[in-house]
Amino acid sequence: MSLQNEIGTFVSAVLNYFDTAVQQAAVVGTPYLALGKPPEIFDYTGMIRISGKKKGVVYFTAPKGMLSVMLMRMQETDMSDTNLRDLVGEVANTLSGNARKDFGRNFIISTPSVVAGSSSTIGYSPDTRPIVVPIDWRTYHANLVVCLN
Amino acid sequence: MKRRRGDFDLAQLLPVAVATSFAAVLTLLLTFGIQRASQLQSASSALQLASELRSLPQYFGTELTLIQRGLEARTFVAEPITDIATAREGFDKALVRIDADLVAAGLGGSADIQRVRGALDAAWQRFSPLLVAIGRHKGSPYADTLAGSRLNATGRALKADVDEGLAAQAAATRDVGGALKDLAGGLQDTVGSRGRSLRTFLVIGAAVAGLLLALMLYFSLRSRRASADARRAERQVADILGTVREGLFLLDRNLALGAVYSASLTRILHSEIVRDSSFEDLLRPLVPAKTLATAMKFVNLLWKEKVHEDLIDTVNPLNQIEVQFSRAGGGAESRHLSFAFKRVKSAGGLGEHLLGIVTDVTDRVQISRELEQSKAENQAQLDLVMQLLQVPAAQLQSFVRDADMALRKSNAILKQPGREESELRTKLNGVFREVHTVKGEASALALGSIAARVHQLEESLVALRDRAHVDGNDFIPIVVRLDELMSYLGGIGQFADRLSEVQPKGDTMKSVVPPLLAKQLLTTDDPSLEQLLTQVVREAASAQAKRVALACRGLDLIPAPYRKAAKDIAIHMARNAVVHGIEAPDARQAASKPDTASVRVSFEANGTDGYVLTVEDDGQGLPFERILDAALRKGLLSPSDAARMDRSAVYGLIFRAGFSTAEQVTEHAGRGVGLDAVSQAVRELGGSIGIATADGKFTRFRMKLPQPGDKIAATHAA
Repeated sequence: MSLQNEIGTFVSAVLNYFDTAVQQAAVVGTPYLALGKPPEIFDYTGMIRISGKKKGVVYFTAPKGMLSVMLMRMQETDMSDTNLRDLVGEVANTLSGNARKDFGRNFIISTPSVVAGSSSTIGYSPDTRPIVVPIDWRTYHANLVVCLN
Repeated sequence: MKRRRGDFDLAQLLPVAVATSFAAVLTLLLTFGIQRASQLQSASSALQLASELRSLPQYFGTELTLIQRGLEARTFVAEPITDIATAREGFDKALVRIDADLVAAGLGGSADIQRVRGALDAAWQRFSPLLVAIGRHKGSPYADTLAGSRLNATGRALKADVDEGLAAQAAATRDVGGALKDLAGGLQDTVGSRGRSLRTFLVIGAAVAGLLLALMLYFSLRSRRASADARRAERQVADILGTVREGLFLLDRNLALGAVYSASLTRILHSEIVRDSSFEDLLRPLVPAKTLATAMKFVNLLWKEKVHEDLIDTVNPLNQIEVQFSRAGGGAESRHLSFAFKRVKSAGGLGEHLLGIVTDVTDRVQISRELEQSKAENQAQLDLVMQLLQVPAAQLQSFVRDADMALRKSNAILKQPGREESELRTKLNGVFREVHTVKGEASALALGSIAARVHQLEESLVALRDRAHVDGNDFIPIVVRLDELMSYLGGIGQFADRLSEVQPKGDTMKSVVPPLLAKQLLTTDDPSLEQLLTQVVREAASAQAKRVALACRGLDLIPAPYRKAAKDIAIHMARNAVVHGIEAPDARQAASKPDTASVRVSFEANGTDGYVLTVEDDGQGLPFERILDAALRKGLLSPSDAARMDRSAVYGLIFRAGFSTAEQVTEHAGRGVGLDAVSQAVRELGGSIGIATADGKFTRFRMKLPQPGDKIAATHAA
C-alpha cells in the first residue's frame, strides 16, 4: 500500500469519527510537510506507533476547546482531563482500527496512547518529514500527523 | 455428483405422473361407482313399486265385491267406485314411474325386463278398461218405488260392469300379479348384481386410494430426503461462497447477474449487489465509458461457440484494471482488480451461464510495480549519476539549492490557511509555478531524470487542476510526491556536495574518470545563463525536431538581485519561443524562411527606469485565433466577452494559469504553467510585460524590471 493510501486511511478514520461519533463533519485542509521544526502539538494528542514494513508514528492532536465542544455534542457533561484524554484516545483507537483493517499483517500497530500538554514532544525518526493534515471543525483547528518511513 | 439434465427432469416428473394416473383411475372408479349406485337406487325404486302393485288386483276384487253387494242391498256404492278409480289411476302412474326407473337403472334395453314389462301392460290393459267403465257411472243406481228401492238403468248397467269386472278379476289377479311378480323378480336379480358390482368398484377404489396414499407417502419421504440433500448442498455452496476470497458470480445470456454470488464480491467491489442488476451496471462505476464498452463486447464474444475461450482471454480488457473507491470520510482509494470469465459448459455445448471471477490483485500489482520500480530506479540511478557527472559540481549545488527553495516555497503555499475552492485552486497554481520552474532548470542542465520526476508531480497537479471540484483531501498525492521529490533532491544535494569535496583531489579524480569528464567535474565557475539557455534551446529544439540558433546579449549584466528570477524567466521564455513561437521546419520552408530559426535573448538597461529583458523569436507570431479558441474551449471566456476583447487583451490570456494552445502535453509544453510563472515572477519583481508580434514574422516579449531598490519600494507600497 502506498503512502498516499495509508494517509488516506488515517484521514478517513478521523473524518468518519467526526461524522459518526460527533455527528458533525470536519473538513480537511491542504496537507503539508513539517520542515525544519516538529509539527505543532496541541493540548491533547492521541497516537499510535507503527512498526513492521513501515515504521513511524501517527497522531491526532487537538486543542482543549475543540475536544470540549466535541464532548458536548456527544451529550457528555464531564469535561475533565480524564474525559478529554479518553476522547483523543478514542480517535487514536479509530486510527488503529482502520489501520489494522486496511494495512493487514504488514504493519504492527501499537496500543493507542495519549499525551497531554502542548509542550509535549512526539518522537519520530529524524530521516522522515512528517506530513501534517489540518483538520478543521467548526472554528477549531486540529492536526493529523503522519510520520512514516 | 454430476447429473444429466434428462434424469433430473424425469425424477422430478415421476411422482406427479404416478399420482395423476392413480388419481385418474380413482376418479374413474368413483364415477362408475356413483353411476352404479344411482342405477341401483332406480332399480330398487322400481322393485319397490312393483312389489306394492302386486296387491292391487286383490284390492280391485274386494272393491268390486263391495259394489256388487251394495247394489244387492241397495246401499251407498259411490265410495268404492271412487276408490277403484283412484287406485286405477295410481296403478297407471306407478307404471309410468316404473318405466322411468327402469330407464334410469339402465334396464330400458333389457330384453327380459321389457318382455315382463310387456306382459304386465297386456294384462293390465285387459283389466283396466273394465275399471274405467265402472268409474264412469255417476249418479244414484237406485229408483225408489212403492214396492221399495230397485236398480234403475244406471244401477243395472253398473251391476253388469261390476259383474264383468268380477269375472275378469281372477284372471287379472293372476296375469297382472304374475307379471308384477316376474318384474319384481327380475329387478331383484338386477339389484343384487348391481349391488355386488358396486361393492366390487368400492373395494377396487379403496385399494387404489390406499395405493395412492402409500405412493404419496413414499414420494413425500423421498422428497423430504431430496430436500434435506438440497439443503445440505445449499449450505455447502454457501460455505464455499462465503469463504472463497475471489468474487464469484454468474452471468446469463443477457449479461444479467445471477442471484447467487460469493460474499467476497461485495467486499472486492466495495458495493452491494443490486438484485436483477446487469454486469454493465456493476462495471459502470468502476471503469471509463470506453473500457466499459470494450468489456461488454468482450463478454458478449464469450457466448459465441466458435470463439476460443483461452485465446480471447489475452484481449480481456478487464484482465487488470485500476479502480478508485470512495472512502467513508472522503477521498478515494486506488485498487487493482482482475476479472476473468469461464464458460459454464453443459452436455449440449454452451451452458446458460458464464462464471465471472473477480480478484483484488492490488498486492500483486504493488509487488510487481515495486520490483519494476526497483529495476527502473537502479537504471535511473545509473542514468542520474551519468547526468550528474556531466554537470559541474557548483552548478549542481546551485540547482539543488534553488530547487529545494522552490519546493519549500510550494510547501509554504500548501501550509497557508484557506480551504475554499478558490483558495485551493490558487494554492494549486502557486505550487505548479514553483515546480515548473524546477523542471525548467533541470531540463536546462540536461538533468532528464530529475525533470522526469518533477514532471510526475506536475501530472498529479494537472489531474487535480482538471477536476470539477477539489478539497484538501485531494492534495494528499501532491504532498506525498513533494516529499519524495525533496528526498530525491536531498540525495542529489549530498552527491553534489561529495563532488565538490573531491575537487582539491583532482589528481585522484583524473585517475578514475576520463580526462574530459574530470575536467568538467573540476570546473568551479558558476555556469553562465547563456550556457543554460543554450542547453534549454537545444533540448527543446531537439524534442520538437526544429533547428534553432540562440543569440544572447547582455546577460552577464544582470544585477545580482535579479539573477535567479531572470534565469527562471529567460528559461521559460526561451523554451516557449522554441516550442510555440518557432514553426515546424516544413512550415518555415513554405513561408520561405531560413531553415534555422532564431531566438534572441537580451538584457539591457532601460535608461534610469531599470532594465528590460527581451526574448524574441522569428517564428509564426502569436496565433490570435487559436488563443481565443483555446480560451473559449477552456471556459476562460464567454463568447460575449471574446467579442468585446481587443487583440492585446487576447494576448494577455496566455499568462493565465492553466492556459495553453498546445494540443498535446509534453515535458516541454502543454501545461499552461510556464507563462503564468513568468508573469508571477515579473509581478513579484514589480515589473511588467509587453508583447509585440506580427503574423508569420516574429514575437517579442519585453519584461521591464524596475531598479532593484525601486522594486522593494514598490513591493512595500503594494
